[in-house]
Amino acid sequence: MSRDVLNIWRKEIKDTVRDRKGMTQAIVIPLVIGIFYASFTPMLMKAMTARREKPLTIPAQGIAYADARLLDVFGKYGITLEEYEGDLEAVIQDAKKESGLVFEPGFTEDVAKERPATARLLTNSTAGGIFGGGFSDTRLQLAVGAYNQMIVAERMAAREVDLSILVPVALNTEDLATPEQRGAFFASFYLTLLVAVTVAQGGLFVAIDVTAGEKERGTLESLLVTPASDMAVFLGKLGAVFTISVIPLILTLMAFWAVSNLMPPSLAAGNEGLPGFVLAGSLLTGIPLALVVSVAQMMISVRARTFRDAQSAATPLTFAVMIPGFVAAFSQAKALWACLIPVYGPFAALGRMAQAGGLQWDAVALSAVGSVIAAALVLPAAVKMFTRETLLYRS
Amino acid sequence: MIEVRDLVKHYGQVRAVDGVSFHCPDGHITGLLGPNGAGKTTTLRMICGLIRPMQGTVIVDGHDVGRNPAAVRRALGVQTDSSGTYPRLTPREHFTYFGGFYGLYGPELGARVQAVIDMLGMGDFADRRTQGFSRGQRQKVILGRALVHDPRNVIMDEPTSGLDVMAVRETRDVIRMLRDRGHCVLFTTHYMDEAAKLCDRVAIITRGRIAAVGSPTELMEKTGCDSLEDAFVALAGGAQGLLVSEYASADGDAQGNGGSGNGDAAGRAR
Repeated sequence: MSRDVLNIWRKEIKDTVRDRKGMTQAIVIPLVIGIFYASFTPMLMKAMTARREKPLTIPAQGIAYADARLLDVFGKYGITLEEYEGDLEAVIQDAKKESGLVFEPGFTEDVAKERPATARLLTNSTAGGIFGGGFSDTRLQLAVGAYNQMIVAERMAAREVDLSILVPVALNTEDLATPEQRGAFFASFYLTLLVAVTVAQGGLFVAIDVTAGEKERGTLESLLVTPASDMAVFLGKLGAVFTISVIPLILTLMAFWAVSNLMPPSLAAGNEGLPGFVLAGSLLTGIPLALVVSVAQMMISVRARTFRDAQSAATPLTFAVMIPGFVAAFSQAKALWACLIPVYGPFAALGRMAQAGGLQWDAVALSAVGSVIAAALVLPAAVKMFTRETLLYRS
Repeated sequence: MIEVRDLVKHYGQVRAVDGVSFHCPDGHITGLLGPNGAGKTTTLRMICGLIRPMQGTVIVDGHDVGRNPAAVRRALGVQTDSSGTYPRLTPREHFTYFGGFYGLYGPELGARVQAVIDMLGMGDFADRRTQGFSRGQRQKVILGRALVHDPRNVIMDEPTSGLDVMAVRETRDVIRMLRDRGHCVLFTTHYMDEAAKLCDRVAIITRGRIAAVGSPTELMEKTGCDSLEDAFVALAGGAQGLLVSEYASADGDAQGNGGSGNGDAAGRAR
């Protein structure tokens, strides 16, 4: 039987490698996504940091009424006010400006007389795009907060009140995360999504092609009249699907690792790069997951009459893999036992490794066991479907 | 030699094959003729073990398909009715792939593949991918992969269907050559003139039952017709099976009894 399995596996791999469309879907697309994730995010972070730190010129009205000390504080925060002559509200509402300030007459006098002085901060939360909005008003609020503290300090000093009573709790934040943890935390979020997408998509085209596609081409019956057993035929095809789904996983993770670690510091924006243990953990959890998904893809594809039917039928399976990945990526603590849950487990294990900042063999082993058990449970059902007579009539 | 004994296969209320018996001796071409839906392909699929019969059995060179389907398949070469090929593989790769299932490998496999390529006159396109092949070329690929292991028994489901004149002649020549080499050949066709020219024996199947078995000449004599086509219509078409008992019993082959059977209809005989 093993010779038949190998014969089928070899043929399916050769057939797939020669298929440009299939190879594009199986390898090139996940590879591009991996490189994109790894390179886009640091560049985005760098761009956001640069934007956060660049000098701001804010349109304002009534600057003459503002307290000079407030303008000094603004200056320290890189904010310059520029008198705006037109309709400031309209220009902000049209998202032509992100934000603006309006000082009412008597502002300085109110401050001096210790009355609440008010200014209007006009802002448009949709200006600046998804990643670029909100920087100017955040910085303005920080600057005003600093000014408020300064004024309060002056007033307390005038009353000979100890300033420390205004700070009942002094909270000093210390980030104890190691560089490995920080690097893994950043990477694990994207890696979880990446593994989910790659595993869900990597072997799908091949699974459909070697089952529903073979039925549609009219070659399946010729294969089934050979002495090769149904089990050998199924395992040979499954082996090819599994291989083709693992190859893009490896390539994508390698590309991700390379881009993350070899990126010039000017682009990396302080990103720590992808630690090697995260790469290893992703492979050790992703490969068994690919086995489960391959078996499920085969089972679904076997039932389909045509290639197109199989594509439609396999869509929910793609989501069934990606959604747990997304849930794991966005959730925080993952219990060790959760690593045993089929499909979710590998992502949970990846998350635990990121939090721990090292390779966690127990999580990896549990996720692998969960995946293998799931594959073993689904495999007989898939083989049974493959051996049904109706397989011949579904073309 | 292929012996088909009392095969029964029902799909719900439909009696696709209802007690079919006939035999195909070595060194003979046996034609299985019948109108569309008569049960030809279902019968062939049961012979190959693709479908498990509810009743009856098939013996190929002494091997029972129910008990030893792998041995039966090793003794068979089957050309299915589909003209499907793997578009990204060459004919040589097709033959190498299929030869691998019959214990052939290395130089022996290479030699068999080359022999089939030479036998079918495929030298010009043996190393081109089959994508874009004409129907005749594809039919040769399908025939070649059925013959790559030099099977003693060859089954062909409508091998000349849709082919041009030249391809039909080439295919018929191959069928005759196989017969002359002592192979047992069982094939189906809708072309009565083809059956008359090629077949040593003909089994006419209609509504899942064998209506008659004999040589084309015998069937013409029995029906009083002067062509196999007229004899076929008399036996399978116009008479709609009314003459079944008379002609089938004349040949000495068993006639189906239409039993309900209790076989496992869900899985293939593998």
